[in-house]
Amino acid sequence: MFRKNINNRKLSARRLMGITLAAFLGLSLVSTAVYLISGYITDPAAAFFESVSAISTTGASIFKDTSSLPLWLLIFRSFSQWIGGGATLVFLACLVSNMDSSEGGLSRSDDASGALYRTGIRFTAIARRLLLTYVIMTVVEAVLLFICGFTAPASICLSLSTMSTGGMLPAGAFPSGMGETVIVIFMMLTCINYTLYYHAIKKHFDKFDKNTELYALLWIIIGASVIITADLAISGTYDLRQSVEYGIFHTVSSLTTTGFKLADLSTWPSFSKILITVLSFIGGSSCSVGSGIKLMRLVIVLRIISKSFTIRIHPRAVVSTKLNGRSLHTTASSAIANFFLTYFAVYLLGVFVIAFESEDVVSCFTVSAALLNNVGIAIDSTIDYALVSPVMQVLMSVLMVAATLEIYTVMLPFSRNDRF
Amino acid sequence: MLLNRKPIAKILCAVMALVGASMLLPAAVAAIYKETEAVLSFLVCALPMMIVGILAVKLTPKEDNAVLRMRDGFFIVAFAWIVMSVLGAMPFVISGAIPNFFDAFFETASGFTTTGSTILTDIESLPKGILFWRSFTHWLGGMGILVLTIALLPMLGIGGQKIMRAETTGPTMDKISFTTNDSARKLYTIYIGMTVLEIVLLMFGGLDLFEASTHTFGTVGTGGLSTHSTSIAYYGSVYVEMVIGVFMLAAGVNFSLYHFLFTGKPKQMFKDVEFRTYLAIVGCSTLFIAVVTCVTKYYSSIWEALRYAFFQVSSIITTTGYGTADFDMWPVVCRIVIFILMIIGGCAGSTGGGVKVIRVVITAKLLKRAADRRMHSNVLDPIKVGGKPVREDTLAQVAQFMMLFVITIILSTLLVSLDGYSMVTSLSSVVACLCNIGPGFDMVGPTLNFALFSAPVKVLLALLMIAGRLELYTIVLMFTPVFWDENR
Repeated sequence: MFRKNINNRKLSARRLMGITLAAFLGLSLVSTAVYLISGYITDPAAAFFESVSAISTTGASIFKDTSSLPLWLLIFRSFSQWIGGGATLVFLACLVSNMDSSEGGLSRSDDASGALYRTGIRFTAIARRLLLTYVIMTVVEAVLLFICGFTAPASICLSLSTMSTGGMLPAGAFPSGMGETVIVIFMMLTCINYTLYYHAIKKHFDKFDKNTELYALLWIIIGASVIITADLAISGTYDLRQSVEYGIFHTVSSLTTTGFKLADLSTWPSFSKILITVLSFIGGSSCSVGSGIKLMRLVIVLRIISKSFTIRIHPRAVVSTKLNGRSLHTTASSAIANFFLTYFAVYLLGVFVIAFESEDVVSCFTVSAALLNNVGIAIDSTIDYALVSPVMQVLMSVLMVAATLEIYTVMLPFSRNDRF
Repeated sequence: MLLNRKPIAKILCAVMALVGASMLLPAAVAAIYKETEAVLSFLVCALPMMIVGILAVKLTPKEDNAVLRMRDGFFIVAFAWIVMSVLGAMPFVISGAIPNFFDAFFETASGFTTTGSTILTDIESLPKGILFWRSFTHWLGGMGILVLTIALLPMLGIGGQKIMRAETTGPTMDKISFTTNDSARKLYTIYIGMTVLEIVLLMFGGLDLFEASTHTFGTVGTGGLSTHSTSIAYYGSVYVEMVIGVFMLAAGVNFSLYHFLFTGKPKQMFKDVEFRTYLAIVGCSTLFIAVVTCVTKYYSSIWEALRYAFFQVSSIITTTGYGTADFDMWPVVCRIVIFILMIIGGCAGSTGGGVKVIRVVITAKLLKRAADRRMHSNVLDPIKVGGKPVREDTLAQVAQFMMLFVITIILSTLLVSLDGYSMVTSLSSVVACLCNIGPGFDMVGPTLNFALFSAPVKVLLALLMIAGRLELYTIVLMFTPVFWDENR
């Protein structure tokens, strides 16, 4: 097994996962040390929670009021989110490049999304391209925000938090107007499959025509914004202008798993609350910074289900699941089906664990969703991350890392060893 | 032609006659209690249904070569349950017990699907005959009108195997190879035997025949509609609770396993993976809830905690929904355990609902294998249940079922939330109906009811009950374009 790896100059899935997990832990521990040394957080578990929340781009915070924190710490927080987002991209680049199709479900599921894989480019080249796109977009956003009238540190912080889909706010209230529009646009941009930017530069516009995921993303954003706006306006929660503003902003903020918060969601009608939570499960596109189940997988899951209807009527029919015009290998579709189910199993496990220190049922469901999907907004939650026990803070951290690293990576330490 | 109209119409008419005939029993009960109005409303419904139904069946010529395809099977099963619920609702409407048709439809669907959700706020004020019919629908639904139809279909001159596919509850592993007729007879015998035994045992506990039988119907059918708004807590008797608790558990077991009990091989029963898992889940959750409620001082002694925990766990995992305690007041973690038990449900081939223990077992193994494949890339082991490898297409079907289940819950919760009740209310009412439980959390908690929802939501919830009862696909298929497209 070991020799085979060397021959192919490829990492086994297991080793790749091990390395990623170690890297994430390392980053979190460094950041924990920073919080502890700075003295703004004294409890190690709380510092670890805050670090993981930033690096996993969740944005749940133990600070209720950030105005007392020094500027450097706020920038550090946003920066660690940005690093986390970048690390996710590198991890995805690894997945795309390192596995070939003989190596089981891992690559195949992401092969379906990573158009780069088929170009046969090596890991370093892919990672460089993805990261370069990431850096350029961050700079552009920061400049635009500065033009819109934010102070330099605020625009940097906001830009770092937007591009990483972290969603931690620097300080103070969220200013509306032009800046808000810029943020909405960049939240969407960072959730589009990054390989598409590469194709855009190369002028391969045909890739856009055939990209189901991109269309799904646009339709969901348009559909959900309209529905939520209508619900907010009809229920009389806000006037029409505000309904439109909050409807669009929160749809995008939740779907991209960023988690910027503009309105008090607890006053919303329960339909909108549930829809906002459901959107966060969908998450961004594959090969993007957004977390969640990922749109591509959802599209495939829906196609598997619709295929299953045909099979029920014609038990002997052979129907293939298609994506972007190509039919998907059975192992690939079953890997995606299993991922989808694993995701909800982990979600339920999260609900159960959180229930130990929750005072009501609804908090268990929303907090588990907020952490697992890396959004950070838990609607109607009564849980204060600063007040839960240290053990719970660590368990919550595990939940946050789980989705960032595609769930399975976190299971690695618990897997059997005999095949390695 | 898309569907074979003649045999379908024939079967639905037979179902109508059957529903009509079964109304004679509550009519008799109403007569005993001298409730003239109730007697009349049952007869007004029953007689036309029986006459029309029997005539339609008799007058259509016997077609020996009528072939039923999968499509027909699904259509018959789905519409049989919808027709039953609509017709069964008539006595409620006519007698004025539940004047609103949609309410009555919800209540009847809840009965036939053995759900046990109610929209009634003042149960005790209703006539006895009506209450009897309400519980009797559980008993009828519990065995599944389809098992009845297995015996009925051959008389109509059409084989029933196709329909069995649409109806079987869950992917049964050990198909005991009788002919359907033979196994149907065995199932009846066990079902009726259990019913009689429980009625007798409950009467020893001081219940009169009426209350013993209505509660037995709710138990063996895993329904959960009670004749008291406080449910089983009304009796406050440990004996009654234990009898009902044990019988609920028994009704949640795969009925074909009882075959071993009668052939003198009870050990074989314990070799069944699903049965063992089922018992383990019940044992663990009972202990867990008892310990937590005791430690948090919700109950003063461990025995008291065990008593309530056992009954609630047994009631929820078998998807019955009887209550002796308000679990919505328990510590949050216990409520979440109850929520998870709601989803798991009973064993395949039982009268319980939910996703079924065997699917949970298979899914767990499937997910474990998926994780192994990711990490080791070349794992190709087949998944085994009880030492026997499970076919890959069965695995795929289980995964498809689970995904459809998740998506159905999410979409229905969104629709139900349009009524504007809290998130937990919306989610738990969907789960309670889809898994055929009865009570949910928050505003549809064990001490409350479903009267608050609007008519469209009630119809949706009623459809979810039927969908859950018929293994999801039967009803969902009716809403897919594929089903109605002749060319596919």
